[in-house]
Amino acid sequence: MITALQLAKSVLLTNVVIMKKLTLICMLLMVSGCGTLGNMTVKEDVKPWEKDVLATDTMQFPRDPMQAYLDDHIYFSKEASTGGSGVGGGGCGCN
Amino acid sequence: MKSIRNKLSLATCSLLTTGNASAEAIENAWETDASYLYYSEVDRVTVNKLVGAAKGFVSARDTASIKVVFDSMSGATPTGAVKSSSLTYSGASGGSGITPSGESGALSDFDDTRVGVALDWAHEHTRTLTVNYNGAFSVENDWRSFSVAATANKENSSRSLRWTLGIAGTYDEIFRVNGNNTPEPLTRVEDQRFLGEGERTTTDVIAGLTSVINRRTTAQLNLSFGIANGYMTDPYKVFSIVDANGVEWDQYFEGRPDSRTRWSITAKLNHMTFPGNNGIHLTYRYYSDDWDIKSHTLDYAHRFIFGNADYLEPRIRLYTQNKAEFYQNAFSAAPGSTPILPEFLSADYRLDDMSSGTVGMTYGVRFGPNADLRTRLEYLYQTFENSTFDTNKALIFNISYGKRF
Repeated sequence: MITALQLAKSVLLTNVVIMKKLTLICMLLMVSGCGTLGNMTVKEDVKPWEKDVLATDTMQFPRDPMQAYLDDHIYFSKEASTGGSGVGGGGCGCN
Repeated sequence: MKSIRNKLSLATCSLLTTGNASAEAIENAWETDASYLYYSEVDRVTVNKLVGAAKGFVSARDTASIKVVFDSMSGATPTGAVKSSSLTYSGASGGSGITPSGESGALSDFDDTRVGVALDWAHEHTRTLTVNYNGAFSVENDWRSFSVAATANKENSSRSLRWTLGIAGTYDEIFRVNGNNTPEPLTRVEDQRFLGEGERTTTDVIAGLTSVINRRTTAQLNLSFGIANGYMTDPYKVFSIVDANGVEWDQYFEGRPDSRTRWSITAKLNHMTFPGNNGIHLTYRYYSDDWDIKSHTLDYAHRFIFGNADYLEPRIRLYTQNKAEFYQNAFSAAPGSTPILPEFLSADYRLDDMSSGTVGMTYGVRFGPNADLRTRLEYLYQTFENSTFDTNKALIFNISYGKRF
């Protein structure tokens, strides 16, 4: 049979272990985030033979023109703001 | 042989591809894309949309494309009247357009169809200068729209930067179904005073810069400016005149300014992670106009790309706006009096203080190098600060099939 003091100690120790693990996870995430941010912002020249990634659909603006077109229509109809990605295409009286 | 041609294409294409310079596009003479969209609000509007698009390389320097759109819209839409409204003539126009929903004047049933066609011609004037010419029209039961546009894309010699300059002109005709007219703004609905069709002209300009940051990152910055003149009012929207207790005793047609100037700045970032080859896609837009509306839009998508090029793309979009300066949910006046109305007044919920969030996912499947299927499911949730209907919830389902020949 454990005493109240032992129970409190056990809970405290468990919490400390959990906190340590959470801190470690947070630090790893921050390092990972900083790494990704660093990868995004470092400017470098790209040689013609290094264009494989840039040429994929994923790296285009927009990456899916059909989905972007449909989104423009939805949000044009439901919000007061529009524009920012291109011009032309006509309007509609959407409710 | 095909893979060698692909590699050669990759080696020669621009850093800043716009889709038509991708390896597949260069190899294939025609690209097609067909899409179906189902948009359904809870107890409100349902839209079924079909889109077909085709793009062909008609010469070494010219690309032609066509897009055909068919929309079917039905359901109930807020009229602008308060919920306690018992005046059911709001928005009534007969025919197949908006009719009173019967239960409350705050909602009107409507059905409408829309057909739109857009033609696009892109010509490569020099190795680094391409101009896109666009013409489009759209026809509904109560709206006609015609537009022309030209967009120039100029790259630097190393093709790591691209400047974009585009201009578009749009002419719209707006009217109520059957009547081919528009209500006189800020007049009593009961008086049924109508004017002719509404006309509007809009000029939009966009200036943008797209840059390759590094082998795995591209960024884009766009400045947009638009000015519209003419009929800006919604011919179906009304607002309630209420007493001190908020009970409606009369209805008026809304009235908006006859011009609108908008501008926005949009920043976009695409990044492919290493290792892992997952796509990070971030967009932020700040928008402002002279109706005193300001908004922020943040869009984040993370594309998990699998070994076979299939992908799963969760996405979140957050949006917030403040209300237009002339927005009011209702106008208070003593029953029986003649209300002294402001110059402009609208109770359209889309002009209210609004917060909006969209969450969802897209799953993309590739069928070999020349075909793909994308399926998207999203949920839209909007909240409004002052409107009679304080929320709007919608389900968005979309399936698209692309094929290159």
